[in-house]
Amino acid sequence: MIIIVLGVPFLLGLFALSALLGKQAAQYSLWEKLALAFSIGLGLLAILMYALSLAKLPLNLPVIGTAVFIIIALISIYLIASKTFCLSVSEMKSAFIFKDLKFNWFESLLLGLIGLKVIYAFFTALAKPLVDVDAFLYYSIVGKGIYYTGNFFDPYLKQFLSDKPPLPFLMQGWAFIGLGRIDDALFKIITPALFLCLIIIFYSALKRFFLRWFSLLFTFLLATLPFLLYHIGTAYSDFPVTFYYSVGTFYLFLFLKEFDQEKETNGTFLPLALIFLALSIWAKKAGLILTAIDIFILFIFLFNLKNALTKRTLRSLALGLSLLFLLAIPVLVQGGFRTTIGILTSLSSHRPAATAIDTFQPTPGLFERTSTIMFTFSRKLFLYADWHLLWPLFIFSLIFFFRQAFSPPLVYLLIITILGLLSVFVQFESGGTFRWLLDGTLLDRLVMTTAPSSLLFSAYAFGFNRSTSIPDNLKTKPATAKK
Amino acid sequence: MKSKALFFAFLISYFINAPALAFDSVNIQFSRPQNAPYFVGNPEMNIDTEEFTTVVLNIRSNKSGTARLFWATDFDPRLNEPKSVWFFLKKSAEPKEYVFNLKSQNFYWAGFARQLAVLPENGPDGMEITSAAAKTPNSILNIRSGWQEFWGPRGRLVIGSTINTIQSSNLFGRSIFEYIYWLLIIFAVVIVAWETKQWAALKKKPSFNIVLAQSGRSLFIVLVVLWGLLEISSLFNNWLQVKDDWKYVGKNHEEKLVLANTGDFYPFIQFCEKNIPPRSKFDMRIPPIYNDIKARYYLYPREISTTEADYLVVYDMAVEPAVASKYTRWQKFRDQAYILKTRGIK
Repeated sequence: MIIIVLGVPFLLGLFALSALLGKQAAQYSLWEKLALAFSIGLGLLAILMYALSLAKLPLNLPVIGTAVFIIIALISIYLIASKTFCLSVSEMKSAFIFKDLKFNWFESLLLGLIGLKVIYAFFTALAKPLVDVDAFLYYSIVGKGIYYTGNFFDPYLKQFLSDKPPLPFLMQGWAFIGLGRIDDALFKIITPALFLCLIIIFYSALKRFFLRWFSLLFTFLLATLPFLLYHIGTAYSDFPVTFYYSVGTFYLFLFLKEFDQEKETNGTFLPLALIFLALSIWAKKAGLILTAIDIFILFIFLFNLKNALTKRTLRSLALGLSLLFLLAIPVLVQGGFRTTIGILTSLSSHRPAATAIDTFQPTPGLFERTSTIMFTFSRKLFLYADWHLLWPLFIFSLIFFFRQAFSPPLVYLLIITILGLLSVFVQFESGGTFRWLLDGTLLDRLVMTTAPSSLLFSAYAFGFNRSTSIPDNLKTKPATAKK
Repeated sequence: MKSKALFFAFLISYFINAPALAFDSVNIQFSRPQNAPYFVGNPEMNIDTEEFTTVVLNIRSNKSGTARLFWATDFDPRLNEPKSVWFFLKKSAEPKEYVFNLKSQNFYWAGFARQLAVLPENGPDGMEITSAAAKTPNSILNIRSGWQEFWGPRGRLVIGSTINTIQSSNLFGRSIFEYIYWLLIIFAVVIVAWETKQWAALKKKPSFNIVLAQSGRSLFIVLVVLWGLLEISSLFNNWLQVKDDWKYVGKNHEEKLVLANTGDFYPFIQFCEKNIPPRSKFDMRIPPIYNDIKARYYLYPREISTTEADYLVVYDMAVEPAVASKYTRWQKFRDQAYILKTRGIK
């Protein structure tokens, strides 16, 4: 049954990815395509379930299976006509020939440790049944409700949905439907699978430009982030939003990087980025603000290079943005828009946000709130065990590799990361969510969304720096960067 | 010669904390009050916490787990959470020594300590505190206390709200990261100074950016090594988690849920599932704030309703007479755990 839970989104994603990548599929490694296929497929499946429920069709395996089959059939017609598919037999064959892969001891060690973390993630998620409060309170009870009623919009479930975006509910509902029963341990299979996808995609985003050992080293750093790893075993929405937002940001950065160097872009990074960013809006309310930041940076970038814009880029931008807005509509309608406006207005009026239920004490003034946030923020980022040395590494990259850090294209990723972190301030500055900062329940989970992007930033800052030309008498080792 | 000997004596006494040379010690007897889940120091004492900073316990235990050492002071005579430290209790046939430099670990080891208590989380059966003492500090005790503190439960076990934040392991009452940052700063200063010196010696000087870049590369290696050390500590945490979760391996879904809940809560839920038809509405009197949330989830597709409930699920909680009058007894799981049914429902 686990095969159904993972296989159906994978198949759907594989065909959707093939249609999206077209002839450009060869520019992606096999493992990257498999990871993209599963994660896109999962998002599309959630959207499909939402649409089926809107159409008042029951959410069960035969109905969902038929709908997926019809979509795959339609995509297949296009793929046959255009004679493309994202996987090739020779590619798959060569992926399993390990004799040519020669790892040195350092790479083997890193691979072993990453593997250990992935096994640990699967073990903690699958061995133990659900134990986390918010999952009982919101996500999993709706998931269970979808399984029993076959209806996402069941009136009883509304009280648990609140104004939260639908992806985590639908994802968990799908897991129960795919399993064919309620299993409070096995239904968590999706998050460790997404973690594995994140590891592969992050590695691929580095491996395009850097050597294997270097890419593995930073992938190892990502895999060991304690807070991220812990959240894989939970059934909260924090890991899904981190996943979709981070992957969206990775591909956006790859697009900016390629475009900035006036190369012929492969034209697929941008639509991929926008699809993942749209899915992050579906995952958690924070995704809306974070996606807005990424789009804002994208527009600044394009505005600066407006003369270099080709029709092809404009076409893929228009396609991607339309997809993003189309996908965002249900979430905006469901309450995301109202919440965002509520947060923004409460900033200026000092009134609690619309979603704030109660506050135990009067909300302090803006200055007092800012100083409290600063204090808590710095303690949580630097003195807790959530992030190992991620944030010192980030600051350290800014200081020592400032030339790379503050130059395009990396500066765009830097601004995205910093604005992402600052968005945490915006959310806490509103009266309604400020108390979640005081009781220590939300800050780390919001910060987690920007953690993988900040690590990618440090990796590129360091990687670019390795290729800086230096005088022979100061040179220690050959440059790492491939180009 | 004499001055050299004096100098070394000073140096040694400095490093092992001169006041500790006397090795003062106050012995404490621990006993367990009848049916109590904890051990208390006996008789009550009056220890100057400024002088006696360290407590040493010798404990024999037939099971491993976690335990807490509490103390009461003249400022605050209660034994409570803020005045406590966690430690791992190890299974051992012979008494094992546990060392706590409480002055460095907890702000509230202040004034005069009046009482000590030890609470093993897995129950006191099979455990014995063979001897205990409050001691003045010395370097060896400090090192042992620091080692025990670092590898202790803080930041390693899921205590409280790990889903929201993960505490760091402490060393002498400070986050381990404070020491790491000092190390990084020292390395940064040394490396930048060294690279600057190299750069200054060049006849034709390239941009100073090169110095930063070179320093950055060296520092990056230092940072990755420190990250690796932290990861060793993290792997130990993962191992503890795997050990804790291992009890679920090989169990079916129902058995897992029984294990994941405390006492007879899940068997009671199964009892409710058997006796309350799906889709019916129920209200509950279950102590907040965890089991009530879980009951709502577990009992679905039975729906919670405070106004139109057909059934009232009661688990270790009193029912208000006004509410109770609307219902009649229906099924009993045990005393204090039963289901009531609205009068009029067949």
